[in-house]
Amino acid sequence: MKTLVEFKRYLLRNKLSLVGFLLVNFILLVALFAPWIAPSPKEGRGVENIDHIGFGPGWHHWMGTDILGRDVLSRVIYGARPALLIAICVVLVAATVGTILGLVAGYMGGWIDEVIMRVCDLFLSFPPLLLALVAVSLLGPGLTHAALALVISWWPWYARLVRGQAQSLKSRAFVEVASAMGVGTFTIVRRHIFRNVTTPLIIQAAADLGTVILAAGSLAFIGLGAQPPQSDWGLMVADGRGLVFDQWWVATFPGLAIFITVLGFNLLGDGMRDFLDPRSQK
Amino acid sequence: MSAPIIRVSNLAVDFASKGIVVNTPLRGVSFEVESGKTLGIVGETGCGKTLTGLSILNLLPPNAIRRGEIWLDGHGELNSQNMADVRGVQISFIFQNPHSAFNPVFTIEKQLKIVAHRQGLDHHQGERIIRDRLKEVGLDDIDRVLTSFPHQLSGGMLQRCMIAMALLGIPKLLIADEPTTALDSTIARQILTLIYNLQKQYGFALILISHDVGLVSDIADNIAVLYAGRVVETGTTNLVLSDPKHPYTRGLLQAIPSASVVRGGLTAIPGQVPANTLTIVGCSFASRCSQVQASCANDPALKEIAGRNVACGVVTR
Repeated sequence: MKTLVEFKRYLLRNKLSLVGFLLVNFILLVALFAPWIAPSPKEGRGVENIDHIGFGPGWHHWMGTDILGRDVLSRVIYGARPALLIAICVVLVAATVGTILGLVAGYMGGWIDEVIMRVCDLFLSFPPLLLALVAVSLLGPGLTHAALALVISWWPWYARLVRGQAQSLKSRAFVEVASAMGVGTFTIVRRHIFRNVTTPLIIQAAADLGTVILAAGSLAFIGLGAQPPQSDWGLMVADGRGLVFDQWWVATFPGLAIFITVLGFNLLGDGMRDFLDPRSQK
Repeated sequence: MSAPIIRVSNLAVDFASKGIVVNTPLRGVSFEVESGKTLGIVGETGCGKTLTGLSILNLLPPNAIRRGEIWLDGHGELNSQNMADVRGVQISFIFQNPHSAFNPVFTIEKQLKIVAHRQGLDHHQGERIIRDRLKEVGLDDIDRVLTSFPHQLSGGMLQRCMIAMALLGIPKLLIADEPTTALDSTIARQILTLIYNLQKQYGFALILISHDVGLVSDIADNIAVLYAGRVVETGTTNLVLSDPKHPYTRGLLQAIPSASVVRGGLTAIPGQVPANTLTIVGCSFASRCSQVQASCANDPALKEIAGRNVACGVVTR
């Protein structure tokens, strides 16, 4: 495993990755300290302020106010919380489920492999957003259900990735050595195989974080994700959609927030890939 | 003469595809090894040497069918149930290529500890024994070796680590499958001497698998010559190598390169090993043998000729 020092040196040499790294950290900090940064934490949490309806961007409201008079900047700041939460939870759970099933399928082979991979194929043959839509419409809208729906459509990618790696790793000599030494199957999979798939896993997870934020935003936009009055970027874009010609700021700023966050995660993900995978290094 | 540690009789391996046997690489191999003694298994590529070693520990691919009996002192006949108690504890294995035998993402210490843990040693015992073994295999800077990743060590050092790993639990039997083939010749000699000395120290039985007859003859007490999945000649190393009886053994010994024959070219055995996809009728060596006769159409059994066992229908004394 390469060290943090090496990663720092890599970031300093690769400006785009550095930009991604800084953006992601900036958004993490914003989400973490939202109550202290937001000009109006109360409005950020979704409490209306009918005296301030329809203010444009100005000195008091940098990003203007929305149809219920809430400060858009405060809401954008608070919106970082569900966005990051859903991204991290979905990727973590999908990667865990996918890794376990992928390891079992890849190492055991045979009919177990066949069953797991056919189930994967089944899930992958649906467009991810459509699958999420079906799940949410069955379970009812809400952030948790949206996250669950995203996990359902995301884990097969991890299962496939890990299964392929496990399959090629299990024929490596060190696995044979371990079994000749009497090391049990569980230990071999846990130590020898899993440890060798962590790099592609990290690369995949880093690249997925941005995509999940985008997908969660899309779900919220069509009303299946976060519910009002929660501050969620996708929901805010949906709120501002009808007013985009009169009050452009209501939809634009949360949209920009999504854009910047996804860009940051993608740049960082690309950077992680180049850093961890020696083959893609120029 | 002490009792044998391991007795292998009529070991045969078939490979099946969709229930149909497509390959018969091992067709009845028998031998026994006594404690503290070395059996050298020699033969050319594809004759079943490695497969013999792997099938003792039942490390065969899932489509392999193993027949015959393997009996281990104190454990009786080995089957898939008691195999778990035997692997790495009673029988250890040294593999050909030390570079691929270690997991590239772990330090040597971590990998040795996984094996030590499997031996039932606790953390402190394990660490002590790992250090003892590494010292015994002739490594000096043990702290550096332990914290190194496999790619940071040379082939010779890694093979020493491999030997240390195999000997963590002092096995009754050590199987060394071409332990020096991936190493250059001076290191190969050192590693072989090391294995020999450790055997004298711990008294385990050793099965040394190699294509290099010269190397095997240095330390093996007995030798078994394998051809097309069968033992064609077996006996004490001195007897077999000084006066080979089977035409194949003779050919094999003539094919050993030495400095004096380089200009004259090497002597090769004409022809090829019969494909193991075929059902072999009669003597498997008949197609390449210079002394072939009509009686070679019958399958020759091992019989005693001049103090050793030979499977040849033509040679009589």
